[in-house]
Amino acid sequence: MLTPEIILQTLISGLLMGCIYALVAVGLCLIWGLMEIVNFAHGQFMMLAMFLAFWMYTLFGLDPLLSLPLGAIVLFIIGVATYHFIIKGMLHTTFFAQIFATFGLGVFLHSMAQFLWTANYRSIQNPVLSGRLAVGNIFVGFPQMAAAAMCILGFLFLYWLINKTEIGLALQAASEDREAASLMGINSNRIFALGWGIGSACVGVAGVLLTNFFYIFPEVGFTFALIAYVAVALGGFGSIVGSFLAGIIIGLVEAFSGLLIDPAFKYFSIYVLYMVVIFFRPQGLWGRY
Amino acid sequence: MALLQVQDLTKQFGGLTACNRVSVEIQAGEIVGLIGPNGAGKTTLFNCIAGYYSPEGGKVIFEGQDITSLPPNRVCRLGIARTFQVVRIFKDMTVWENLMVGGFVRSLNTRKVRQEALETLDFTGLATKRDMRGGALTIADKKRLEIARSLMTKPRLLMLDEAMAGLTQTETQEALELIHKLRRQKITLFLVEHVMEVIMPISDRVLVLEYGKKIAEDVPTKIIHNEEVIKAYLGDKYHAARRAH
Amino acid sequence: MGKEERSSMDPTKKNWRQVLFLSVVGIILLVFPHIFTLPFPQHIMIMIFLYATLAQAWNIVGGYAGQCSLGHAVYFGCGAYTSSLLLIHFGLSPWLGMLVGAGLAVGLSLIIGIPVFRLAGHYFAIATIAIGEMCQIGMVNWKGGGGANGLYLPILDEGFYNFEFHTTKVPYYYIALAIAAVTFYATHLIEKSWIGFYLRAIKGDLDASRSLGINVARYKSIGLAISAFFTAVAGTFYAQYVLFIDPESVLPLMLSVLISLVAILGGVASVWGPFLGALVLVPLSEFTRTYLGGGGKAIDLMIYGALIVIIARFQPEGLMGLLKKFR
Repeated sequence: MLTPEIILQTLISGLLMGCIYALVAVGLCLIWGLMEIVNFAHGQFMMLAMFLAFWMYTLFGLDPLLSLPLGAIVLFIIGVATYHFIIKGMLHTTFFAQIFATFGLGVFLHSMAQFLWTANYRSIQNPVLSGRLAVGNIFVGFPQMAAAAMCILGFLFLYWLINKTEIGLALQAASEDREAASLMGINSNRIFALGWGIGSACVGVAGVLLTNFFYIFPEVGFTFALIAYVAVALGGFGSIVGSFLAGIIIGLVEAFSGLLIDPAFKYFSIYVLYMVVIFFRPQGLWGRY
Repeated sequence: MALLQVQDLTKQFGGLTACNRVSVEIQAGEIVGLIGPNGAGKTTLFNCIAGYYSPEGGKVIFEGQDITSLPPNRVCRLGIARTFQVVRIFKDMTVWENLMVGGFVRSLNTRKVRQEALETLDFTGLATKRDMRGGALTIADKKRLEIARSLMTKPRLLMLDEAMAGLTQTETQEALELIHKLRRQKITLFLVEHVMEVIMPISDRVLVLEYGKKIAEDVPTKIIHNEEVIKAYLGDKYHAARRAH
Repeated sequence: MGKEERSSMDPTKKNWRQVLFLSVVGIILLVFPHIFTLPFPQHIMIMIFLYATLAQAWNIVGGYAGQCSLGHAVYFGCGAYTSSLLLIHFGLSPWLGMLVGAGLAVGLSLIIGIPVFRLAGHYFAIATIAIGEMCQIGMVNWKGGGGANGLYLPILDEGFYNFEFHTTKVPYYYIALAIAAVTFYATHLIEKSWIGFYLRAIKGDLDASRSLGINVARYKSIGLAISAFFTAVAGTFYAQYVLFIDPESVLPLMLSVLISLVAILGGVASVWGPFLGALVLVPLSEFTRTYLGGGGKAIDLMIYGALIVIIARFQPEGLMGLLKKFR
């Protein structure tokens, strides 16, 4: 019963969700590209942003759209704080220690959320962005569309920032060669903190956008995080364009495997795709090793 | 039959030809030097011989056997050992543990390998430092350790990549003594070096690479007067200036 | 250096201090269940032995060889499910099932190794997480294996042959102790042998290892295979101890993380590290779970999380590293 409409519907859903995965992945990739540290707490950062939007709505009636800048700023601060208090002292330790530092942070944040707010699913009932657009027999959720559009904008802004501004060039320089960059007067500590901040702000934005149509609960970060890691690894660590495109690919794979196979195997298909790609191209599709 | 025959070896990286039809023959018992400006392709040649790179063209024949496509661990088993330009000792293992790793390729018996390690420690002058952590050694000792470790694999050909780089006068002298000892052990040596005062006195022959091509191969005394070699190192202007005299 | 000083290179002659220490520890462990006869302390020790075994097995590939696998639960689940399914459907003795499960886990590790060992560092860790998730999703959806509801092992007459004891935990205690002891001894042997040296060389520098004749891919696989074997054995023990398994209890990411945490907390690449790590973490987890009530589940994880961060940040060499400083 695969009508062209169903296929188109799935395609659109996949693309829209993919944009969100893409922004989450890009944030992660930024941090990785900068200092070869994978932020294993990335998903929990997103979860925090979602809860932020939820509580702003529930306690103050603030619509998620208005929480967007708040989410970006708060997560920026969290990112910088994480760098300053945890990562900065660990730049020269083994990668074991680095993996576990952020992983531990993730575990801590996840259980803290569970402790403070319980594991229950929450949702935002009446956001400004709601309803759906109907084009023939195709329904496109308005919040999803807006979220995807903003993620794309966010990515374009980031791309411009990285490639066309001085700050971006400093980020690139520091990621290529820390010592040489510092000889050029680039304060690597500040640049790294900035990288963490911006990367976390990305995921903050994605998280707040998600609250328009997604449930909010402590576990949510975990699923998105795993998808983000796979997206970055698939796209190739170090390439934000690769991460963005990989995020979209994953959105499509998820949507279509939900349609063609079994919804239970959505994530399974993503992992299979990931394994197949890295088997033939360990550095990812667009990676520069 | 030559110990090592490299025939028309060609290695390309994308558009760059790092080694361009390089050929060399090394006889058992020789010490052959390899010099050339930076980027000439010396380490690339080593890597091709040792199996780290697959050449696009040409062959490497060791003791009559074609080893061109063999991986590094097989090459080691067959009797070629190498050190690295940027020294790669096992930082978190002690000196003697580093040596043990090298010894197991010839025997899996821990006791036997430990005995050999003791002997090699004495031979290379590292006995007093055997319990030190690899990462804690001076650069000269690290290079010495790398040589000692590769000796444990009982190589017939030892390729040293800039073993003297970064050493003081005294350290260089000590390293040279070790090289002489190696020669007396009948180990054939293929050395990449930048320090002319070091490589010229000890080599039987010297090869010169420039931009991936072999531009000269001769005894040291003739090499230092070779016009092409001088031009490669010092550039056209110097060459022209010399000509003008 | 005078000839009187012992070098770490000298073959280990058991000096009297080491023998005394091992004997004392051994005696304490052997008589423990007769001094502490209540089931709860015995259960804690059993859990300590279990986690020590798991951490030690992980240590072989994670600590010594430096391959940080965050998907080890796969082998645990393989052992648990294999022996349990064979018991349920064919009545096969759990001891034989244990061997079959361990063998399957080795095979699984070889298959997993093929794509995964092409990666290193963070990439490798993420790939192992992905595989772990795939296996968990697979088991949740495989009705033949119990699916999400899991498997209840049949209650049989208690006895050594059936590997089930209902009236007392003491036999479980000694079996767990034996499994842990065997795993530790195996690790000790490996550490002293060429395999141990090769694994540590791989962790140290890949190209240097290759230049010394080491087939890196082969030894990574050997390390993982040995690790998978012991992890699966522990899985079968768990199944026989608890008599119920499901994907949530034997395959989750959290378990994989906990295993590696115990090893890292204790100190990687050391024979005693995993035991120390288990000695600290298991009682801590039991304590927080028991005394911090309903919200306890989240609080003990909060403590884990904070602990992981603190260790990673300030003491990456773990407890063994701390002890060495005081020697």
